[in-house]
Amino acid sequence: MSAALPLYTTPLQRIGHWILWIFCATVLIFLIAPVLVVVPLAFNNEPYFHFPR
Amino acid sequence: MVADSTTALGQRLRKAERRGHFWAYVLIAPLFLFVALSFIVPLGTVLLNSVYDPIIPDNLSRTVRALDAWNGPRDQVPPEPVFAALAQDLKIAVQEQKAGAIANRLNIEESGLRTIFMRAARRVAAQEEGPWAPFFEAADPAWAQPLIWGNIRNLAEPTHSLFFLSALDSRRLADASVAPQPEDQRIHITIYLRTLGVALTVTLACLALGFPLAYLLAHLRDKTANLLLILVLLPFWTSLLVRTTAWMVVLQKEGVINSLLQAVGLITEPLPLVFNRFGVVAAMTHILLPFMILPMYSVMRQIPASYVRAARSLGASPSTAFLRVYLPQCIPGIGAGALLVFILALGYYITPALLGGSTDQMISYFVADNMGRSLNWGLASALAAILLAAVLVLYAIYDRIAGPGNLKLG
Repeated sequence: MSAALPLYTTPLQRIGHWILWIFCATVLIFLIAPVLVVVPLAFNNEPYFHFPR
Repeated sequence: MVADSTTALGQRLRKAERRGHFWAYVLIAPLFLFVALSFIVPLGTVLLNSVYDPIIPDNLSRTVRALDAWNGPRDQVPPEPVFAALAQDLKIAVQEQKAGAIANRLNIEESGLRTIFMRAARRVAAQEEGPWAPFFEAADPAWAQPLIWGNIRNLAEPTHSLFFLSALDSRRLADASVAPQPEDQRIHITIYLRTLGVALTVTLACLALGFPLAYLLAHLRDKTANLLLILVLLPFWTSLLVRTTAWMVVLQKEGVINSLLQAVGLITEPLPLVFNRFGVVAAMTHILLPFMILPMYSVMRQIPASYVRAARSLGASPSTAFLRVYLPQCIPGIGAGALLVFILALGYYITPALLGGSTDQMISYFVADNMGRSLNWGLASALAAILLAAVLVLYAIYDRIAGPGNLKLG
């Protein structure tokens, strides 16, 4: 599936394939973003959850 | 001769098997002991705590016996011998510093009894002789009312169902009848339903987000799939507390999402994303999503791609091939993931406590509250026992529907 789609793929299947990829990318961002968000906070010298400026 | 050697062989075989079994049990013994000590004993203590409550029969034993001997109707105040027995019990309780514990236990049943009881205990300690009935009445007129006596008689047995009644929003009145709690104190059933609702929402959200991702991962080349799997495993390996606070950072009023949306100009006022149900469900879905993806992924990987191809070549439309050939083979993974997420979600405490408002707390919050703040361990145990029973019932239903073999964890 990751390789080029076969020649007989219909346009609808092509769209479905890309929708699946975009959806999965969103879910992966949902999974990884909150974990990465805390990294810059480690460089914060305030007692609150503010991003360092 | 042949029969003899067969019997001898059989005996030797059985002996060898017995020895094998013995060593197998010896090898299992440490694990069994560990499970018994670390799991069954604490759980049993909790279950015992929810029905066993000997404070009153232990410390007011004479009073309980005198009440038994009198055995009058509940709407009457007991006669002098009971008061005398109570006075004797109170003197000992004050001496052994147990009066506070008894007063607290009574106060759980009926708020206000603590003051009445402690005042009487202090006065009795300073008094030598009766008659005790008028003396108690002079200490507080409540002693001439049947209410306090009814509550003592409700607690007279060391095992009782009062905690379970309280956990189910009922109470036993002084006249021994069971009645629902006053309207403003009926909270537990609502909270059980809320707990089930949140767990169900989180399970469905995990299923909706996890299924396509597991499908994609299972059908990618190994190299790409392993790379993307790290993105699933990295949050899985991060501490729960870190992820919960991370969601606070993301969702708060001046957090990442609100600043982003305001910078883009989509909103002018910050959206209330945290300290409500949305924040709890979003964070719990994030924390529990790997538990859904991993079993589904491992099951989907083992489904041969040729099945769907065969269905397609035999004339099935893509949707038919997916629904009738592919999906039924995913059921063990879906069932395992959904069950895992649902049961873990039922017991969530930290995430709702940090990201939820007052109306988003789940049952574990109230278990912890009764343990730590209200010091009503019996009620905490009863609440936990009911949650445990609910989980077991739900598991039994799942087992009946999906069948015992239809569960595959990784």
